[in-house]
Amino acid sequence: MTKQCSECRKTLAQGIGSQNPALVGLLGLCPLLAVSTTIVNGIGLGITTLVILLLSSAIISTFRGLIADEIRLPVFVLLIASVVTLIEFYLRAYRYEFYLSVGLFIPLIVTNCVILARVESVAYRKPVLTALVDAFGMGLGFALVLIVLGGLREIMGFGTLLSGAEQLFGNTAINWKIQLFDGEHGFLLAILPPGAFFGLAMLVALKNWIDQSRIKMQSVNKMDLQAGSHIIHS
Amino acid sequence: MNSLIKCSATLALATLVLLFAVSSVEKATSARIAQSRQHHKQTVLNQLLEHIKYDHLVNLPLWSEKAVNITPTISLLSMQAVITYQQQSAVLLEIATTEGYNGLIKLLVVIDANGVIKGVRVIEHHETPGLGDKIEASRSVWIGSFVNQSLQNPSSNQWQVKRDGGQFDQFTGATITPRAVVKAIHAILTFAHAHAHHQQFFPQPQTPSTVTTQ
Repeated sequence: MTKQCSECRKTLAQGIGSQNPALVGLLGLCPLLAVSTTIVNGIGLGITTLVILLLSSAIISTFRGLIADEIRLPVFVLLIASVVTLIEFYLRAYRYEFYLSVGLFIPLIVTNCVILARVESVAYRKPVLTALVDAFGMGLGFALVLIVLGGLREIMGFGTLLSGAEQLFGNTAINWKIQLFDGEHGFLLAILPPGAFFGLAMLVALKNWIDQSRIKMQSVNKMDLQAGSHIIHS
Repeated sequence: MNSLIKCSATLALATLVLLFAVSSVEKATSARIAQSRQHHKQTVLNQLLEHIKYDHLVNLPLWSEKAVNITPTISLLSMQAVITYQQQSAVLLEIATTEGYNGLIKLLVVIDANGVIKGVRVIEHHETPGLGDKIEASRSVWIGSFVNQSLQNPSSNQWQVKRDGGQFDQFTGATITPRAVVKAIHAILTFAHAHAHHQQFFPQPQTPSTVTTQ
């Protein structure tokens, strides 16, 4: 059981960190760049993508024995498109305001290659539980990047945070908006598409810097240990 | 051969099952979706008529069966008379323009008997989130800048966004969307002015005892 747990934790960490679909795989750039203008759009589309990834993975993994190798890709695309359509119906019925604001990008989730990649490489080959854990990790990793990027661009471009939260969380969230500075002096480039590329590039750079300094730290520690043992031996 | 049949059967089965799932969910949610849309339209309408004293709305017939084309890109979808004390005090027009950045923008415009705008709201649009969607009242006060404007105020060449030399703000990063809205509102004002004394535009009150001339 503990072995399973550590396996799960490893898969989750891979999705959020070392194998992050957005920062390492650079997958699903279309929604990432188009929708990450505000943190609320980021949260909304991040959760939507996560749910679609979980559902698609679970279904494919359950029926993986029935789907022949030759026709797996058409079946995947068919299934993902259907799941996205179902979610779109749900959003139109119960989150109409949010649907109005990002509805344009919901059908585009079908073409998000993160989903197709996880379904093809994991869900089609692994049991349901493993597929679900992987989907959750990857979806969460993607959503986090979407949220951080949305937050950064919203702060820089509009000087606000959480504007439009009531569209997603209902009327309780109507006062969640934080005005950090006057939006008139916002950095326009941040909200425009190039700003998304710059923002993502900075996040990738930050992640690489953290990874590298961690490796450096480890090797220094190792050298210290070796040096220490030499001293003892001599 | 065997595997070909098997593959086709699997694919057909998957298609059928998913088709069934999608269509049944569509059927299950369609009432709720219509309700949400109606609710949204009603919310917008309430906001729009918040500061206008009125008793009720009466549907007015359009000139033709379908929408009236004002220009090739701007059309009048429906008309309602705003009735105050049994008299028509204003007209509520639903218009659509195809000149938005991403196609159709639908607007509600209230114009009083003097041709002055009493309010404008967007009820449907597909503009870019974060950029063009500032035409929504919930995101920006911009749409309020049309209140108390008329065909004479500002003058015709000022009925444009600032970048084109007019008096209405554009948004940072989005000019096409506000330009389309300003143009549509100017067009409907021109149209309303031309038809101000048209019987269907400001019709006779319905009960003969309160006949008044416009």
